[in-house]
Amino acid sequence: MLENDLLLRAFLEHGYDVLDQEGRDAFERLLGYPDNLLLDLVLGRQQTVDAGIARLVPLIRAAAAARAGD
Amino acid sequence: MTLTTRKFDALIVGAGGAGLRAALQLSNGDARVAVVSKVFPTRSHTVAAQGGVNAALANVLPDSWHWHMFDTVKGSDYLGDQDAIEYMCRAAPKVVYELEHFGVPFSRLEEGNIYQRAFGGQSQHFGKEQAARTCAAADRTGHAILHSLYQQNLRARTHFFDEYFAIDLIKDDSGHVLGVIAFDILSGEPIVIEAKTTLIATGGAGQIFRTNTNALSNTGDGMAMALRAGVPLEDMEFVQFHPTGIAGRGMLITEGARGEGGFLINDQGERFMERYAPNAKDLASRDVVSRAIAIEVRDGRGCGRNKDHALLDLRHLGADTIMKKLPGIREVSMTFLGVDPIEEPIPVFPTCHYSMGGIPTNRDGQVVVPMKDTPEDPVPGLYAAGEAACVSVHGANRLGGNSLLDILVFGRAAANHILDFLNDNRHHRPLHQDSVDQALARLARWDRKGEGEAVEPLRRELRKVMEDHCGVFRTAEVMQEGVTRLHKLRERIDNAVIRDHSRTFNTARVEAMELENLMDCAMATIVSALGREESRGAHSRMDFTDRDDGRWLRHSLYSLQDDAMDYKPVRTQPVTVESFPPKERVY
Repeated sequence: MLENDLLLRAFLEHGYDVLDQEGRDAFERLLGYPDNLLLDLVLGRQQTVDAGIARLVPLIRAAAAARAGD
Repeated sequence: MTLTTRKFDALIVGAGGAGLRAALQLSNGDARVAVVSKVFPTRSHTVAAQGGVNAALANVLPDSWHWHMFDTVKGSDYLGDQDAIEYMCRAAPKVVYELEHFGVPFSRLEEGNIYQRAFGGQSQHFGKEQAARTCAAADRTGHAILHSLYQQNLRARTHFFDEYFAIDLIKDDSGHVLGVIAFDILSGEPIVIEAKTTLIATGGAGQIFRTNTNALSNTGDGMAMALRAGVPLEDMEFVQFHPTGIAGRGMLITEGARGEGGFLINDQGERFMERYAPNAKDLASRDVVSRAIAIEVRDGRGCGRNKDHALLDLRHLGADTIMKKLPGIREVSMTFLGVDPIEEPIPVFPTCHYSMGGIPTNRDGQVVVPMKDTPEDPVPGLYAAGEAACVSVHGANRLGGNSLLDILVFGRAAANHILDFLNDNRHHRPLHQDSVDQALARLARWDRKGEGEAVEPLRRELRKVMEDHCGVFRTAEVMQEGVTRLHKLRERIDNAVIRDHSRTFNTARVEAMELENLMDCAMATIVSALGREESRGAHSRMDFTDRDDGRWLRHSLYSLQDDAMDYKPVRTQPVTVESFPPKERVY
């Protein structure tokens, strides 16, 4: 799904490197989600009870926004 | 070097809807089946299909497969093969009911039947009242189908090679296809997968255009493999564009935004659609709006730093309307562009959505090529289905709801033919070492070190050339320049290098091989488009504005060898009913 490709690629370029181990574990859990749910979480259409993933969401959105000016 | 070798009855390359439907039919038929996919199966692009599947169930309004057939032939601008279209429309209800039994949670009517929604291009009584033919699982039909099929395949014990990249087909001197050479993306190790039959189901090639709606994985790998194996590609000039994709990103901004009163402006702030369509203005048909945007940009009235897009202005609608009626559009614009449409207009450009062309097949999914005596001789052991294939049910233009149907009907049909083939061909043919060595050389070519251009800038340039020279604004002059630029780019790609030569999960190597595939698909598209001197369906020429049935009611065939074009007749004779002769297409 194009949206997820762009969001996750932006995050890998502008964000993933500074995550601590807990953050990286949360990212791996996020990658286990089905495409539509993953997109809904990142776009804020759904919330998650997983606190680690919830902390990641604004970082992923910020990375996408940082690429917006490319 | 000792290569790992695995043997199967049937090998499927690609794990989207077509591949998984075929695999399931084969596994249930007691064939030994493997699926090779460069992404995890449920990440395949089918997951993004929102609309639904067309089938004349008549649950909401009266319907018949024959009306569905009429709509599909007309929608194809009479370039679709009518035998395949009849087969597809007749099979549609059965395919939908099978999906229901596989666990797809279709949306329901109150009495419990499958809900069906009305889409454009659907009619009752051969072009009269609107029909309601599209079965959907909310707005997640593709997702539901893909997950259900994957789980059914696990139950049926289909073998999956997840995150393996198929390099090339293995073919012997007599033309039989014997499987593929692939490599494990995780370890970088190549593997020989021998199979009595091979089905290509790798999806489309939307990534040949800078602005497109496709997943990054849609790089036409299967189409390019077929080309390299000597199979021509059919009708590649027919590419569906949507007028308002987010510029440079590709995601759709639906017609709803213009339906609510949004309008397009150029760098002067002019509502330019008033010049192109004085009555319908911004609500003119998709092709008119797409071309208008492209002309504004070509004539130097584009917006932004690179003057390469138009702007969709919603500001006058006000914050309330935008937040209540267009929240999804606002969300996408803010996330991917950092643009709040309440405050600023959205940069847009026509976005490539779907490839009607592909690997030529008959309605049994067999790949067919011109031989000495016939235009459609089967390639023994080779099949194709889905967007990678051209059967051809979409002809020059695909109707909404027919792409999911295509992948399911012809994935299943190909599998049924494969089962018959396996009954008659019980043994593997001897492996053809030359063919294996050639594929391995393609892989090893990227181990070359030293000076050379990097892959990513070449990929960017290729996509821009295609957008500028083979998008919605097509003339001989524009496309000829594009062909010249692609020829030069092809030479530069031959000399490109990657810097990362590690084995483990080397995505640079995958992207390099994808670039080669994109190059071949791009050349097929632009050369085919240059050759077709008429406007038909999604192929619109500024220098040949009319449909020309006398010269061009025929399929294009592009071959990699010398970038040569050939043509073959359209199959205008259906299986059991009378043909629908070409008429002017009016809606």
